[in-house]
Amino acid sequence: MNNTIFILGVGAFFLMMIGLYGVLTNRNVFRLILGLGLMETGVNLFIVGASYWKGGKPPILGTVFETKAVDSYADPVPQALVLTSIVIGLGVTALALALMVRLKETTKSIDIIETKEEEVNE
Amino acid sequence: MKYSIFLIVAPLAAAFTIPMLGTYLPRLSKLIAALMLLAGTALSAWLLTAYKAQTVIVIGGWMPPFGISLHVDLLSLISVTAVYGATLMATLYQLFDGQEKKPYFYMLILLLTAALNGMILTGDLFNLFVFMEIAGISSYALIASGNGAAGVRGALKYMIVASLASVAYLAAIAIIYSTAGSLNMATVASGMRDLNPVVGALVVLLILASVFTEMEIFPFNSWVPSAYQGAPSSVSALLSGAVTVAAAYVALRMSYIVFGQGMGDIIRYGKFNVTNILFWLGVITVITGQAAAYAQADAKKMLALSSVAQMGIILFAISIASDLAIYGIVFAVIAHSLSKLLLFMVTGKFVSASGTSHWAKWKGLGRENPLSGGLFLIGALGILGIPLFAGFWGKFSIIGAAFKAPGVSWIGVYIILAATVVEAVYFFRLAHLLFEEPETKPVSIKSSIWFRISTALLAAAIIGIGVYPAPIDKKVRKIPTELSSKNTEGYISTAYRAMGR
Amino acid sequence: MSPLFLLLLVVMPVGFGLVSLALPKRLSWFLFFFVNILVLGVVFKLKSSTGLTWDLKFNLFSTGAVSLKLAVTHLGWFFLAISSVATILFSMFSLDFNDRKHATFAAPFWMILIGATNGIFLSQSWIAFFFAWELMSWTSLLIIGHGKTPSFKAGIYYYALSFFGTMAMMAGIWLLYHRTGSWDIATTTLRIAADFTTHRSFAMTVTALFAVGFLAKSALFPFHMWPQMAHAEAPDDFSAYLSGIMIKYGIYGLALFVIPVFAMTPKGTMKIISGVPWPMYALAWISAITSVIGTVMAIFTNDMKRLMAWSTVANVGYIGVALSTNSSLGYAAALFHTANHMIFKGSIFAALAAVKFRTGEREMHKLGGLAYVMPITFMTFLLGIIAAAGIPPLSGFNSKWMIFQALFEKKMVFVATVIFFSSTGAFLYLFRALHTVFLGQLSPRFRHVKEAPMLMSFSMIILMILMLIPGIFPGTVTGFFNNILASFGFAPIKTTLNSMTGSTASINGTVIAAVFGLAVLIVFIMFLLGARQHKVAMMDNYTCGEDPEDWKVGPERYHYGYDFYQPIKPLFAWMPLGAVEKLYETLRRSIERFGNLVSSISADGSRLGWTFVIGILIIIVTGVMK
Repeated sequence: MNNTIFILGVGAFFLMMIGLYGVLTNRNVFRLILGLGLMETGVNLFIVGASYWKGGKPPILGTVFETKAVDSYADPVPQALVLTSIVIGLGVTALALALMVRLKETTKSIDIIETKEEEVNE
Repeated sequence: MKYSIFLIVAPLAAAFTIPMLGTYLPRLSKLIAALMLLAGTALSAWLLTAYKAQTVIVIGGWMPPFGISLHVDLLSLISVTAVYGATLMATLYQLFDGQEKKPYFYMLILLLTAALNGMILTGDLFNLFVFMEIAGISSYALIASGNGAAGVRGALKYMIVASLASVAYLAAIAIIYSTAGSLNMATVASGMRDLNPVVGALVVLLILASVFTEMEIFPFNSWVPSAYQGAPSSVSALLSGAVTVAAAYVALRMSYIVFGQGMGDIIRYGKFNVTNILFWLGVITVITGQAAAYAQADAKKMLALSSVAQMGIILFAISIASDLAIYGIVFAVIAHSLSKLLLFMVTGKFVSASGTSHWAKWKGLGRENPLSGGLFLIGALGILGIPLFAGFWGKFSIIGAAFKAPGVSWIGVYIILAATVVEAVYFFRLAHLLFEEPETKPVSIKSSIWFRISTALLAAAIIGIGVYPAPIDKKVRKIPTELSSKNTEGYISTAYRAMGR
Repeated sequence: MSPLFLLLLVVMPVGFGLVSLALPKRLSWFLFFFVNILVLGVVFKLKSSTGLTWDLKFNLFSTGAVSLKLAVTHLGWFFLAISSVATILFSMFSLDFNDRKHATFAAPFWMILIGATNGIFLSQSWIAFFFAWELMSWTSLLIIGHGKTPSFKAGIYYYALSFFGTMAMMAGIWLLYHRTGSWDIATTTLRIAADFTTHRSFAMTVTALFAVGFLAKSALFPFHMWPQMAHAEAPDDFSAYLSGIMIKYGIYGLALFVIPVFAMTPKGTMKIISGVPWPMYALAWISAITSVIGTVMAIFTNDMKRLMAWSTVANVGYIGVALSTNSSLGYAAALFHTANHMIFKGSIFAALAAVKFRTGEREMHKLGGLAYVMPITFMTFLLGIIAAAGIPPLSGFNSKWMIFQALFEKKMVFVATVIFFSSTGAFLYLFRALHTVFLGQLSPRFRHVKEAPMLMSFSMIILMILMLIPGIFPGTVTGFFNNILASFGFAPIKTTLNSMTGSTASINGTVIAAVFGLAVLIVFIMFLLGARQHKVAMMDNYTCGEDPEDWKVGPERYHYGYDFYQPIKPLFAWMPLGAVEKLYETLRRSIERFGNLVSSISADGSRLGWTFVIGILIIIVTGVMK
C-alpha cells in the first residue's frame, strides 16, 4: 500500500473518530460544533485521499505543466467535490455559530440541554 | 418536460432577489415569494398533466455520467407538485395568519423549496448531497426564526444530527466514487452489484443512515420533537408536509434504483439484507412513534411524532416493493402531507390564540371556534385512514400489499394495525377535547380569508381523494413500470439511453 | 324498484346529517325525525324486493375491480326493518327529549350513523361493509362523547376496543381477497367454508380475525366491559339506540359470516363437541361467560343506566349462545331475541331517559316511588323488565324459550345450566331496579315531578305494544325467519302466527297470554278487595331514636335500595371479575410508559450523537439478521 494513501486514510479515520468522540461526550454547543467540524475535515481528507495516486499531474491542459497524456492526470472530480463540501461545511458552521450566539442571548447558556421547559407561542 | 429545470432554478433565482429588494420594498419581496410559489405550483401541476414519458435533462451541456442530469419521471413530478403545494399553503399561512416575519424568512422558504425539488429531481448522488445540505441549512434557519429559545434549540438539535448524517453521506460518496468511478445514480446502480459485498454494505449503511435522518426514522429522529415544537407552526407544517415528501422520495429512489437496480426482488449485499433493514426500522418507527405520541402532552410534539409513525409505515411499504405497495406509498404520502398541513395550520392558530402548545389547556376551543375544531377533526380522520378520507387508500393498499408479499411482512401488518389503534386514541382524544365543556370561556380565534380558503381547499382535497381517488389512481398506475429495471421504460434504461449507451 | 333506493337509504341520512351540521340544534332534531320516517318508508317499500342490487365497480390499480355492492338480502332486510322501526320510535322520543335545556349536538352525527347502519345491513361487498362499519364507529364515538369529559373517557374505551376489532377485520378482508379474488360477501363465505378442508389454519385465521371484530362490537367476552361505560355515559336518549341497535352489529356480522361459514363447512373437517364444531363450542362458552359476568355485575350495580348496560351484555351473551348452536332453531332464536331485545332494552332505556329527564338522577337509591307520578314511564319499564326477565306473555319469554330449546336440541347441558343461572339472576337485578326506582316511597324532592312529555310518552306506549305483540303472536316476527334460514342453507322451523315448535315441545303464545291475563285479573281483583294500605312517607323511618341529620346522613343513604345485595356479595367473591379490565389498563399504562421512555431519549439533547450511533448499530443488526 502506498504510504501517502495510508497516512491520509488513517488520519481521516482518526479525525472522524476524534470528532465523533467530541460530539458524543459534550453538551456544550461550541464543543459540539468543533466536533462536527473535525468530522467534516476528516471526511474531506478521506475524499482527497481516495483520488490520490503517486505521480498524478494536475489535470490542466496547457503548457505550464507540459502534460499531454490524459492518463497521467489526477482525477479532478474529488477535488471539486471537496471544494464544494468545504464551502457547505463553512456555511453550516457559520449558521451553527450564529444559532449558538442566539441561544446564549436568550437563555444565558450554551448548554444543549434545556433546564426548564421553553414556551411556545406560534 | 424541458421546463422542469425551472422548478429548481426559478425559486432559487427568486430567493436571491429577496435580500436585495427586502430592505427597501419588504412587501413587494413577500409578494414575489408568494407569486413564485403559486407559479411553481401551476408549472408543476401543468407538467404533471402533460407528462408522457420519463426524461433525462442534461444540465450545462455536460453529458451524463460526467455532468449533472435531472431525471423527470411521474413519481418525482407528483412529489414536486406536493412540495410546491405544501410550501404555498404554509407560506400563505405565515403571510396572513402567522407572526410578522422579515423578508429573509420568505427567502429561506424559497431556498428550501428549490432544495427539496432538487433532491427529488436530481439524478446525481453528489448533487443530492448539495441539495440536502441547502435544505438543511434553510430549515435550521427557518426553525430558529420563531419561539425564542425553543426555536433555536430545536434548530441546533436538528443541525447536530443532520451534520452527522451528512458526514456519513459524504463518506459513502467517497467510497462510491473511488470504487464505481461515477456518481450518476443509474451508473452507480449498475456498478453497485459488482462491488465487494462488504464495501456495498458499508455504502448502503452510510447512505441509509443519512436518508433516515431526513425521513425521521427511529432512532435517527431524536431531533424531531424539539424541532417541530420550536419551529413556527408554518415551518412545522413545511417540515411535515414538504420535507418528509422529499425524504420519503429519496428513500424510495435510493432503495429501488441505487441499491436495488429497479424495484422488485429482495435487495441483498452478501449477507447484508437491505429489505430487512427497511422492514424492521419501519416497524420499530411505527411502534415508537405512536407510543411516544400517545404519551405527549404537547400538541406540536404529538403531531411531529405522528409524522414519524406515518414515515415508519411508508418505510415499511418501501420494503414490500410491490405494485400495490407503491400505490399505497403515493397515496399515504399525499394524504399525510395534506392532513398534516391542515393540522399544523389549525394547531398554529390554537397555539397562538391560547399561548401554549399543551393540548390539555385547549378545552373548549372548538366550541368557541367550530370551524377550526371541525378542520382539526377532518385532518385527524385523514391521517387515521378512516374510509372516505384521503388516508384510507394508502393504508388500505399498504396492508393489502403486505399480506400479498412473501415472507414475514404480515407480522409487520399486525403490529402496524395495533399501533393504529393507539393513533386513533390520541387523535380523537384531542379532537374531542376541543369540543368539551370548558371551565373558563375559551378565546376566540381570528383568521384571515386566506386561512379559510386554504384550509377549505385542504379539507376538500382530503375528502375528495377519499371519496373519489380515480384521478390520482390513474396517474399512479404507471409508476411501478417506471421504477422497474426489467422494463425498457424503466429508470436505468432511460438514463442509459440519455447517455447514448 | 329502482336499485337507487338502496343507495338512497345510505346517502340520504348522511346527506341530511351533513346539511344539519350547519343548522340550529333544535331544527336538526326535527330533521332527524323526518329522515327516519323516510328511511322507514323506503325500507318497507323494499320488503318484497329481495335480490335487488346496486353495484358500483371501479378499478383500483392492481387489485382490479373494487365493488361497492349494496343488495337486499333476507337477513339484511330483517335487521333493517327492526332497526328502522325501533329507530323511528327512539327519534320520536328524542324529539321531546332534546328540548331547549337538554339539546345536544348529536343529531347530525346520529343521522350519519343511521346511514352507516343501513349501509352495514345492505352491504354485500366487504369494502362497502368496511366503509359503513368505520363510518358508524367514529360517528358513534362523537355522539357518546357529546362534549363531556367523563362521557368521552367512556367513549374512547369503546372506540379503542371497537377500532381494534375493525383493524382485525381489515386484515381479514385482505386475506379473504388475496385467497378468493373477490370482495363479495356471499362468494367469500362459500369459499372460506370450503377452505376448511384444504387450508385449515388459513381459514381459521380469517374467521378468527372477523370474529374479533364482531365480538368487540357486540361486547362479548373479552370485550364485555365497554357497554357499562359507554351506555351509561352516552346521551340518555342515545343509550336506547346504543343498547337496542348498535350492539347488534356484531350479532349481524356473526350471523352474516361466521355462523354460515361453520354451517357450510363440510362434515368431518373439524372436531365436533356437543354436536357443533369446536370453534362454535368455544363461542358458546365465550357467550355464556359474557352472560354470567353481565348478570353478576348488574346485580351489584347502583347506577340504573350502568345496571341496564350490564343487562344488555348478559342478553348479548344469550344471543351468542343461541348462534353458537349452529342449528336452524338456534339461529332463529338468536334473531328472535335480537329483535325482542332491541325493543325491550330500548323501552327500558327510554323509560330511564324519561326518569333522568324529569329528575336528573341516575343513581337508584336517590329515586323511588316514581310510579305515582310517572305512570306511563312506569308501565313501560315494568313491561320492559318483564320481557327482559323472560316472563310470559311478553316477547322475551318466547325468544328465551327458543334459546333453551335450541340448547336442549344439541344437548349442551352445561351451557344451558350457565345460561339458566344468569337468566335467573336477571330477576334479582331487574326487579330490584323496578322497585328501587318506581315503587316504594316517593322522595319529597320529586313530589312535583310530572309525567314525561307527550311525544316521549307516545313513543313509549308504542314500544309497549311492540313488546306485547311478539309475546302473544310470535309468528309476527318468526314468520320472517324461514326465508333467512333458507338463504344460509338451514332447515326451516315450524311456526304459525301464535305458536312455535321447538325441539321438545311447542307453545302457543295466545293461550299463555290468555292464562296470564286471567291470573293478573284475579290478582288485581284481590288487590282491590284487600285491606286498605297504610302509606308511609319516605322520611318516616325508625332510626332508634337517633336523628340521622346529626350524622350527616341524608334519607337516600338509608334508603333500602342502597347497596341492596350487599349480603350476597361474598358469594361471588371468588369470581375474577374485572381481571380483563385490569389487563387492558396495564396494557394502556405500559404503552404510555414505553412512549415516555421513547420521548425521554430525545427529551434533552445529551443523547443526540448516541442516537445516531445506535441507529447505525440497529441498521447493521437488522441487516445481517436471518
